[in-house]
Amino acid sequence: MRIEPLRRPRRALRLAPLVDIVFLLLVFFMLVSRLDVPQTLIVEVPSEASAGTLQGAVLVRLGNDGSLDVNGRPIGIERLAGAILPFLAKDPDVRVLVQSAREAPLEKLVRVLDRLRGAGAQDLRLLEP
Amino acid sequence: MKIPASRLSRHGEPMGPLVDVVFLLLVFFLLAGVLEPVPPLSVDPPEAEHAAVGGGDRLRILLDAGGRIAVEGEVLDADRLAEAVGERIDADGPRAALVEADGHAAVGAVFSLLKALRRLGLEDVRLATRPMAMEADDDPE
Repeated sequence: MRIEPLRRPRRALRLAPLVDIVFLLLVFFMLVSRLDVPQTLIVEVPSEASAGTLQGAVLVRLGNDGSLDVNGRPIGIERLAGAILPFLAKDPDVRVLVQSAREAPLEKLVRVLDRLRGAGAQDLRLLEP
Repeated sequence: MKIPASRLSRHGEPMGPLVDVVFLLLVFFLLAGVLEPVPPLSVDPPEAEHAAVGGGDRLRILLDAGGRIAVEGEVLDADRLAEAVGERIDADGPRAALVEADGHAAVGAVFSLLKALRRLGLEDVRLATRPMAMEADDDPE
């Protein structure tokens, strides 16, 4: 007896539902995953033991209103790097102490630290506000 | 004039290349992205240009603009900070910390937190920053 092969129409694989799901997964991962690498700023808070090692350091003070002074000389943030360069030229490892007013926003302090770091200061320390 | 219908419109758009590209994008986001729990506090770190990238495995501490603190996703009072950090250090947690403080948080609050962490034995404490926006100008102050 000859058996007739089952006649089932060959249909192409339906890709549309697959694409829908893959799209949904893609959108999910695009929304919830974090791609940026975290950036960090090293901050040194002096301990009680290191309180006596402030001699020869440069003092940068930040006021509540964003005013700045370097060793008591008022200066604008855009001139900070230029003001610190002579000290770094004399001693590249000079310690820079940064003292900020308690109520100053952190972003202003970070901007100061960033400028000092950009100018080449390596030994940055925060002082008690 | 009669315009002949294109073959594509009769048989549908070819899906293969589209699926390939979407799969590639999916694999990219799976590999390159990091899934993180939603932070319990809203924190917008300050911008910095000369910050270091990365920092390894660290205890993650959040400080929002209002001075509220969260350790590893758990919001707590400042007086419970020592207990919470101590527990995690004792449980073989990292002995370094990453403080993600809001740019509008007061320096006094940030400094108190940094000092408290140092007293608890965390010598390597870093402040999280975000890359400088391209259009950011120098502060005229």
